[in-house]
Amino acid sequence: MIIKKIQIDNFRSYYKQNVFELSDRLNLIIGSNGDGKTTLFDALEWLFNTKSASVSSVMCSKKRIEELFDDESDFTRVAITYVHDNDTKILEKSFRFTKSFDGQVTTSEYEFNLIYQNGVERDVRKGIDFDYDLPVELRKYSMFKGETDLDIFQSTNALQLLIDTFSDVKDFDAYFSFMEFAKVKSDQALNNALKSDNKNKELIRRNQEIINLKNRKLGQVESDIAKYQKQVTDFSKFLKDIEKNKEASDLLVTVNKRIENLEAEKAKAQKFIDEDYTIKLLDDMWVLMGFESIANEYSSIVGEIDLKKRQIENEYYAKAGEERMLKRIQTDFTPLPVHIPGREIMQEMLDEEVCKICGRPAKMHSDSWNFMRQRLEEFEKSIHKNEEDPIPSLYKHDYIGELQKRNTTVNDNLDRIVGLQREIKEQIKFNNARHESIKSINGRISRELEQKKRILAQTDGATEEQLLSAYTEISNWVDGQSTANENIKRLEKERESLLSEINKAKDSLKDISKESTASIFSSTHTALSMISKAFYAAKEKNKTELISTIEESANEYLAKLNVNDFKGTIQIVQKSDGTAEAILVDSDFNRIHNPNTALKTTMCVSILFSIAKLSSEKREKEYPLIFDAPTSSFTNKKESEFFNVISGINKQVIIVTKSFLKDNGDGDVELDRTVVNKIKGRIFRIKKKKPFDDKKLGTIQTVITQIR
Amino acid sequence: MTINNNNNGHKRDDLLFDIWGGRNPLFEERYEYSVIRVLSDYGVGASENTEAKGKILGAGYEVLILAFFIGLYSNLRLPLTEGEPTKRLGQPIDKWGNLDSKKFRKAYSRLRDYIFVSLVAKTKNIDWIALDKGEIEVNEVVGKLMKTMEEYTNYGLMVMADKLSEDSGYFFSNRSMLDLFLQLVGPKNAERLVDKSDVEPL
Repeated sequence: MIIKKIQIDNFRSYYKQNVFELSDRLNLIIGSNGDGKTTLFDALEWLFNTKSASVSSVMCSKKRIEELFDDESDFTRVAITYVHDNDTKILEKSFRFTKSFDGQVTTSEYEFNLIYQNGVERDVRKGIDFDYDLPVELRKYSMFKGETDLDIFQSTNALQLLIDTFSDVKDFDAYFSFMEFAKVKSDQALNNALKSDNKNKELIRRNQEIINLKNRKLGQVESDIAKYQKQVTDFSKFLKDIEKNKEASDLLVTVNKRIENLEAEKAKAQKFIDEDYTIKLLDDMWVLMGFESIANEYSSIVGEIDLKKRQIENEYYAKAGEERMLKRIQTDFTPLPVHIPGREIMQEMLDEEVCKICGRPAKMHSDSWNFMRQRLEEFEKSIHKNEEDPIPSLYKHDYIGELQKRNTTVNDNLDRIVGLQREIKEQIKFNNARHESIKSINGRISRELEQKKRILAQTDGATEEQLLSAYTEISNWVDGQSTANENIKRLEKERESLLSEINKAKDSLKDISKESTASIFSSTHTALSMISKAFYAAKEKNKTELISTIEESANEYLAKLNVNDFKGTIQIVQKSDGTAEAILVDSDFNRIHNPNTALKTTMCVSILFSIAKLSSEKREKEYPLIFDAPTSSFTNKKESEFFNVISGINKQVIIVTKSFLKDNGDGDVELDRTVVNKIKGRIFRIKKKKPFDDKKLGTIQTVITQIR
Repeated sequence: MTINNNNNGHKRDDLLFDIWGGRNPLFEERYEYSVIRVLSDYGVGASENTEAKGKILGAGYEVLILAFFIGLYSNLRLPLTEGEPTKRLGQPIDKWGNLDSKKFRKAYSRLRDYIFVSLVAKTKNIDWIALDKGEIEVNEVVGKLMKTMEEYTNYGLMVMADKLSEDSGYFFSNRSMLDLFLQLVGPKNAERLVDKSDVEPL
């Protein structure tokens, strides 16, 4: 069966007419959450439901309803046009919805038809006839709405269903039941015949008693064995989970420790950073960084002023002293010329042993020298003589002295000022180095967090707490498992002995019966037993072959889909409780626990392809695969490869997906054309028409665009 | 003013530094809102909790100090504009930098000494000798020092106001103030020799 066209009219977000013209191979329908992907599935599910006729105004497009006037109506319709066995048919389901004056919507004229289109001939049949083209049990393997539905073995009776659907010997079931029935009946007949044997009555009775007793016991033993077997299976599962979890939790503990250490390193580095530069200008007096030249200017100015002050002072004293001397000399004995040298000059003359007036040398202690000295002494005496007439100080204040003292202080601290710029630059460099170091630590922390995420992801949803606490339960489970195994061994021994006792008793009865009319019932019983065993074996063998066929072809698909990656195989494992599980094993036949989502998806899709192939071979029924692809966990490259491989398989596949949408920076998503263009197949984009308000259903409308 | 004879050991003069410390510089009122209140907690409250208020400086005078140094290192004075209203902040100079060394700040009262030193170095029209002789009043000299201070500060405030008007967030990066000074003081300026005959461009 190949679907050529899907038409959805006025069904929920599909306002008025909406059509998907499909290709015979890969069809990709791309939309974000809420764009109408699930609604598409719901529409098809509703259409394919051949059993019940459910209709409700909730299914109708709200937008269309709001447009209707009073008493106006329209139709909700979902239809597919498909080709099957060279016939073109249309399966459609529809109803009329009418809006009344008070806004209520009523439904009517429900129709569900299968229409044969043979040229101009139109043959309308009941919709339920669709079951011939796609039986209910096969529909189960055709459409998968949610991402999790792909793993068909999750449901407990999946294996049984597969067998029921595809097994070659399923037709034997009727015979098998009959065999069981016949065995019981022959047993009864045999017992009845034995009852009427009076001669061996006691022996017979005893043997029958033994048989009954032991059978009862056997029943109990079987059920106990089953109980312990379940325990062993459960513990195994827990332990297998925990084993990999333990590994994960060991890793987790290591990663957490590393993260802790890195955070501590980071905190330490951060503590050292001191970047309050503006405040440091004042508090650490960094603002003095350019002060050196000013300090030098100050020193120079103040030095000059100070010198000048002293010079003036000296001159003043000298002058005053001179004037006094003059006065004295003038009032004294010997008038001297006006240009008498001042005190300093006189001292110099004495020191240099020369008269600076006439130029003649005056050697120490010579007459001229002594004369000069005497003059000088008198001069000095005359100065000191008048106590009541001191020379008034020239300066009333010593602000200049204050300035000079300050100069000393400034000079003492000049070293630091000169070094300030360098000190500042060092501090900046130091802070920057801390920042660099923190950046690199952050990089390492992010890598560790990535590692942590990977560990947690591989444990399929176990939280960190679960991982860390789980591993303490291991010893309990290990003990539980070994106890159960011991019990099973013991019970199996018991079963063996019970069975042999029962068989011994039965053989005795047979021997007894040989001599009586019961013998014929006995041989019949034996023959029936053997036939029944043969059927049972055939059924088992067929089941095994079926599974093996599915495995083999699933692995062929797996190899195609996983071209460069996985090198293991799919195995379908039967469990003792009658359920089955699809697992992946590596090349050494070790089970891969918790494969990543991408691998799991590929595995499930391979199995689905394999079952579809089985269906077309054994039942000659082709049907398309319609599913929601969980390819969000694939890399972009892997996604494109995946779809391209599928487009190469000769099978119609309709995949609904969120892939290939990228953020366009405006808070919206758009199709990544460059990637989409590389995919061979028909591409559709569905999205809600703008503007819309999620709270007002009446504004929602899905728009279909065929991209290719 | 006391006219006392130092040599006679009578009551000592107040230090010039202390007299100057009692003053409080004028600034053009228009910079109060455009610069001082933007950068500091002036008008808000406790000045040592700068971080809590998001301002980069605490007391208003801290803005004046930095503005002063901008002018000083640029070697450019800007006399107060005639006719422009002026005002003073609340704290005289001798209180500047007297922070309690708690929380995030440290006291920096010694910075005042350096400011004083630079005023003396840069105020060229003071006859110090006449001062010491008692021929001129000390207040007159302090007044000239203050004028120098106000003029350098005024230039610095203008620079800050210009930066803020171009980019109101300019000073909020922790590097901008520092970089401003590093640029002013860069290798060229550090090597500049002090020359007595330098005339300050007005």
